Amino acid sequence: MRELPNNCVQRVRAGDLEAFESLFRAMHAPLLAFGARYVGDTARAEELVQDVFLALWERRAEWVVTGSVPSYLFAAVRSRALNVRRRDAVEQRWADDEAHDSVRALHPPPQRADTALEAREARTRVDAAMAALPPRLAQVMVMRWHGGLSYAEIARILGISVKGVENQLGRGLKALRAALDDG
Amino acid sequence: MTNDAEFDPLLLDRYLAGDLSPADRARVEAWLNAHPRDAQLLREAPRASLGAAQAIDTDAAWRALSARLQAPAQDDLAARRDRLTGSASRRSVAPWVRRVAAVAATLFLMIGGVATWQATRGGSITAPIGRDVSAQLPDGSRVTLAAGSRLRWGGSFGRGARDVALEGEGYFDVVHDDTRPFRVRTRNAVAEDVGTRFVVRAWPELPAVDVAVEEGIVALMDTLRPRVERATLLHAGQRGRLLASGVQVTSDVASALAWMRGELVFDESPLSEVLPAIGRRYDVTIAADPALAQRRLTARFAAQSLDEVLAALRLALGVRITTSGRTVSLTPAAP
Repeated sequence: MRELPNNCVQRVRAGDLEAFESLFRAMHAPLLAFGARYVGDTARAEELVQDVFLALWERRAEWVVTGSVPSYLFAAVRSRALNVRRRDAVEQRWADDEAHDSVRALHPPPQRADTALEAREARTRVDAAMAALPPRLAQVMVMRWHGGLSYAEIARILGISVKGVENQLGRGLKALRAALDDG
Repeated sequence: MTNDAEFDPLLLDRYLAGDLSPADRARVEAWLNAHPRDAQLLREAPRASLGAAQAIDTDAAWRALSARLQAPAQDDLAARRDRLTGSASRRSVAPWVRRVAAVAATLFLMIGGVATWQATRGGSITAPIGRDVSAQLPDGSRVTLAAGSRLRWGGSFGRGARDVALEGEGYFDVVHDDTRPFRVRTRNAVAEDVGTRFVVRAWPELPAVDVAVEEGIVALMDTLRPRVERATLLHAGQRGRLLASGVQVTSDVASALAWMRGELVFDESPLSEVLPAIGRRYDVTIAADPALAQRRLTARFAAQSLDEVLAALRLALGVRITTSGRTVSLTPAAP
């Protein structure tokens, strides 16, 4: 996780463009990865991450953060992403996806028995395993490992239980580890 | 976690999230040393969690965002025009991309730099380390400053002469005006346009101020010896270096313009010039062992990452490279 600028909120509120830029640069990729799993692709996620930062800068004087700054930003991206999806009326498919997360995780897609795949590096196997995980689980990982959010913060943002967050992370790491072991 | 302990995913997660006490951290690291496969997992998992966003260009995203920060009014105007023409209904293509492009084409665009000017008090433009900055000057002339450069002008700019002071390197596209000469002042030189596009290089580490002319004519003068020498006229395609012995003229203009295309070009350049140039581009401080002072480099870097550039340096110069935070050290490779 990249360092956030010191006194980030205070400096941005005072109109410090450099602090704002550092904040954007530190959080851009994680927020993009997080948002893309709501709206489907990084181009659209880019648009909404930029909208979040633009709105933040335009109303910086009133910016209030109660928890951590990354936690605030993930929540802001989520709320905007859900608006976008409501607008696009793809909500239903996502709701189905979320309901089936746990089922899908227990039944990962069969490994392709293709020698080229086996020959590829561990990196590729981890990427493939990650892509096979439910998007919600990947979002939890991004918030944890790139945002440093607590289980409780993640639970609050996603509206699930702390236990649920722990279960997802445990399951996810086991799945990725299994993908490495297959090599 | 002892060496033979079971795989504990939540402990590893807390390690990755930076959630552990130093003592627990040390225990996990000891365990990882004995379990290379899990160490590999911890390296790969956070990277992989970014998915397609791994490949994203944060610099470009910041440039796009800062253009939107600078131009909210135009943004609204363009949105209104979109609505009038009905083109905003194409929601799937990021509409601000088109708007930003239009704004960039018709108005001036400040790329993330901090530019301020006032008619009565002059102003300045600074290109921070790691980023070039383009801006328009009050007279309509345009300047692109290389990362780490600064341009200042006084309150009298435009009343009579248009004098600007440059530290670093800038590309000028000057709106010519016979009655108001445009002059770029550096530590010891003045470059005066005669209707023109040109680059002035005045980095502190360069032995000579250097002017390359893309179009038009530039008069180059040594301000330390104004009476000894008259101005040297540089024409399009010529490059002048202001040496103690006078102005040395070559035709090497292309390499002086390379940074405008995002390239770093070195032609038998001493490390004393190469390392600061790389440092300004990639926002790192590069220190070289004095034993390497005489080494020279010929290379061209375009879109390479810092790691790739350093790998090239290591091979081309046969040096050892160690990195610590934003500091890079070059030492002679062990024989």
